[in-house]
Amino acid sequence: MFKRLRTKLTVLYAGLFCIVLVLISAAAYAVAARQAQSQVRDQLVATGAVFDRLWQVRFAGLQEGAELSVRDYGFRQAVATGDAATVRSALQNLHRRLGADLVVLVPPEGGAINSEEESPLPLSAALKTALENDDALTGVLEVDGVLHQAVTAPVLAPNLLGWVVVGQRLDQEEMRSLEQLSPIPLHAVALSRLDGVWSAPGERLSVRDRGAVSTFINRAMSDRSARPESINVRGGRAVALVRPLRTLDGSRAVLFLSYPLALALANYRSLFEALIAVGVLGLALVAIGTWLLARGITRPISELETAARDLEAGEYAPVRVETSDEIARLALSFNAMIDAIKLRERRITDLALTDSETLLPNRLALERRLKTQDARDRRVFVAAIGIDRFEQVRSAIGYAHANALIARIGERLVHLSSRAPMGRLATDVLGVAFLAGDEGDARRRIAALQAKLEQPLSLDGQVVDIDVSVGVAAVEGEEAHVDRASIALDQARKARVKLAFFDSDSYGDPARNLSLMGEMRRALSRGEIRLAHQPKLDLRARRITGVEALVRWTHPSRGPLPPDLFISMAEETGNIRALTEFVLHQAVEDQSKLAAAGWPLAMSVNISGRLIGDRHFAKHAIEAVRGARHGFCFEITETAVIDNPKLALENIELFAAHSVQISIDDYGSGLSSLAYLKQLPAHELKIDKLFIQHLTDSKRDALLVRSTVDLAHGLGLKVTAEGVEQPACIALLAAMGCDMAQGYLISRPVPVHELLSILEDTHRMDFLGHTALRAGGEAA
Amino acid sequence: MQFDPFVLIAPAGASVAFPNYDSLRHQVYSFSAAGPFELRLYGRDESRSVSFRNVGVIAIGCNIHDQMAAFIYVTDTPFAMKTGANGIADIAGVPPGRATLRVWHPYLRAPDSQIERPIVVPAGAMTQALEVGLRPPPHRRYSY
Ligand SMILES: [Cu+2]
Repeated sequence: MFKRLRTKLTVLYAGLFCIVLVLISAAAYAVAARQAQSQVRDQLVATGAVFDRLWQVRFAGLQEGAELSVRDYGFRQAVATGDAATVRSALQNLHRRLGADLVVLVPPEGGAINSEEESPLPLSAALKTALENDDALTGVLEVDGVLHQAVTAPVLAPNLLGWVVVGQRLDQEEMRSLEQLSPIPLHAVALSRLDGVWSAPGERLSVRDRGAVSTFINRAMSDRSARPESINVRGGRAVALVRPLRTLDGSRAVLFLSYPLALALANYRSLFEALIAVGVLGLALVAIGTWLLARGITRPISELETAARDLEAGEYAPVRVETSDEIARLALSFNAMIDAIKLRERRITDLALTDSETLLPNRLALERRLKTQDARDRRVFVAAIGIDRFEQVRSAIGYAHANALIARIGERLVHLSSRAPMGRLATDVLGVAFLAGDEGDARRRIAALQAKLEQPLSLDGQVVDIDVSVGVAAVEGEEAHVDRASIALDQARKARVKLAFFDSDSYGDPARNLSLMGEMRRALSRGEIRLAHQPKLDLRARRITGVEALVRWTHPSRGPLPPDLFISMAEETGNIRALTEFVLHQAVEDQSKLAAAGWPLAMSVNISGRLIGDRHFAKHAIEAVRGARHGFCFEITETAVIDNPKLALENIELFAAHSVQISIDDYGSGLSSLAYLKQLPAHELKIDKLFIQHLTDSKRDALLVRSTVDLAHGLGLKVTAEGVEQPACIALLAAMGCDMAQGYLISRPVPVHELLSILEDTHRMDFLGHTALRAGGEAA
Repeated sequence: MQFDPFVLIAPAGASVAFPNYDSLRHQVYSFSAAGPFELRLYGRDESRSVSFRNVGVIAIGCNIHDQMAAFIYVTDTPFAMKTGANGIADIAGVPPGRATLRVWHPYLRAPDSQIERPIVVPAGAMTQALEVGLRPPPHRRYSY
């Protein structure tokens, strides 16, 4: 509901205070109202008593006047005449003398003679009856809707001549003068009952109030209650007292005394005003006090919160500490935490930017500094300095010394250019950034650097010779300069030069090639990858007895892809197995297709060195070729065995056990270890095209091939020559006793349908005609 | 002080004397239509007489003393009698035949304080009982 603690506290306390205040006010009001009511009741009772006395006094006065008047001889004489005019004049006389509002003569036979008007007054018959029973009455009399306080007196001469009724109006003015006598400003009204409703002429009561008053009076009359009760009228609550008034004619009339409670409570107004003033002042004090207190609490908390946010954002701003309470201690702890985090982060950063083995800056450090490098008018270059033969050196001098060696070389770099950004990029590679005018300048600088770095180093009294190769990349744009320098180093080593600049053309586009692997499965299913078969010519039988199945990928957008590219990519990314399995199945299929066409050929398939140690693949491969109608041969490079000789040999033996022939591929290009030659249960040896291409020109190559053929034959292996391109070469090979030949001279690798037409082309092998004799002669 | 008797029957034309035996003076008057009169103050052992020619009730008062009241019933019949305290009047010598019986009392509840009743008087004695109501005497507060 409230987002801020300050508001929450302020509202809470102010609210509580308000509630307490309201309760106190309510209690005070209740007490005051009770007090006021009870006071008013007392006053009303007292006033009622006063009224009674006053009432009697007024009656006595009226009575005295009336009685004196009716005894007047002249008046009696006038009445006795019975002459209305005379009587009226006598009554008028009496009226003047008494100063009364009402002077009426009621003759014994009934009716009434008014002092003022000729028309008889509507006096009730009940009045006459009452007069006959008691001729000296006192009470209230209603005449023409006006209540009068009236007395009667008989006119005797001495027989009864009638009764004189003398009255004073009980109008508002009269009542006001009565009210004046009360100690409290109450409201007095005389009411008579007319048609069941209590009313008084001139008294402006609303219909509702009249009903309420009537009900009130009726109840008071029936209860004969002389106690003041409260009543709700338009002006609010009032306390009222009903005093029945005796009437002349037996009708009902009351004196209704009322006093509004509001007036009574007015005495307490100052009390309430004081309460309200105190309440408002107190509320303000509570609110301000709470607000200040809450601010005192929340401001440091807010500051802490801000500091915590800053910390989250990586800004280390300590919190101000002004007090010494719990929050201040929390702030102190927070500041301590900030310091600790700062320290730790610095350490982590240091660690992240330091090579732990040599304590030189690492690759990240170099990259970071490169970002802030300011070249001005020159260009920035990054050099990746590779220590040649590091593995050998390391195994010679030991791990610790090797690290020390790197550290020392790093120190040299720092000495040569103390402010140049540098870092260890790999185990045997250090990187350094430098400025140069152009590439030539950079080349000269690097050469000078190389000369200095290659000075022999003394480690624990042992002198170590150092050779370094350097790859250089220019810092341009946002490219990965360090990576490119490293690649340049690789390129330098591959080219066996001391220094190479990054060559993007030969590097190609590895990222693009990598995406090829994602497309390989699709390519396999869509038929983009197909087999091409290169025939193998049996030099003795003079016909094609086998083919080597090679894989070709025609990419829909990039066209034919170099097999070296996607095969090595497949090897690196683990796709080689799927590819090889596809080749195996396709080869089996093609073999049966050829056989169906009348060409039962042996089928050779290349098995990658990555797969040769894979037991699962081996089983799958055996399963794939189990249904092959004719011979199947797996070509394996001898280097493939070197990585994991034990597993590789096991699998190779497994292949051999399942009638799969084993061929040693590319013999002579690698280590050509005699030890492996001895171990492998091979059937065939394929001499690398490197030796065959210049066979006819080079005596040396010829000697090597001849002795290899002899060696293989000695080990019981058949020999196949690869890369045969000239008929002369074929003849020479046949003469050397080579068993098979493979090459563009015979046929390039072709799809299976094309292979069929080659096989059926009888003139295809015409070149054999010239050499056949020599070969045969040689063989003979 | 009081008139005595309270009620007097007088034949029409008779003169009624109002002797004063009190040691103070009275002023006797009547406003009755049958014979209004006024006797100026007269003292002890003095007497005044008034003759009443007309038949009717003469209410007599004293202007000095309000409580003094008396009534003279002036009639032209010889058969008039005042009842005793027991309310019985024995009228003798009334000739038989049709007659009108009138009962009067100053406070009788009836018009003109009188009840009339036609009766037939038999040859012998008869008893006529009448029930009447009386008003309270005026001015009860003052003792008469
Ligand atoms: Cu007298």
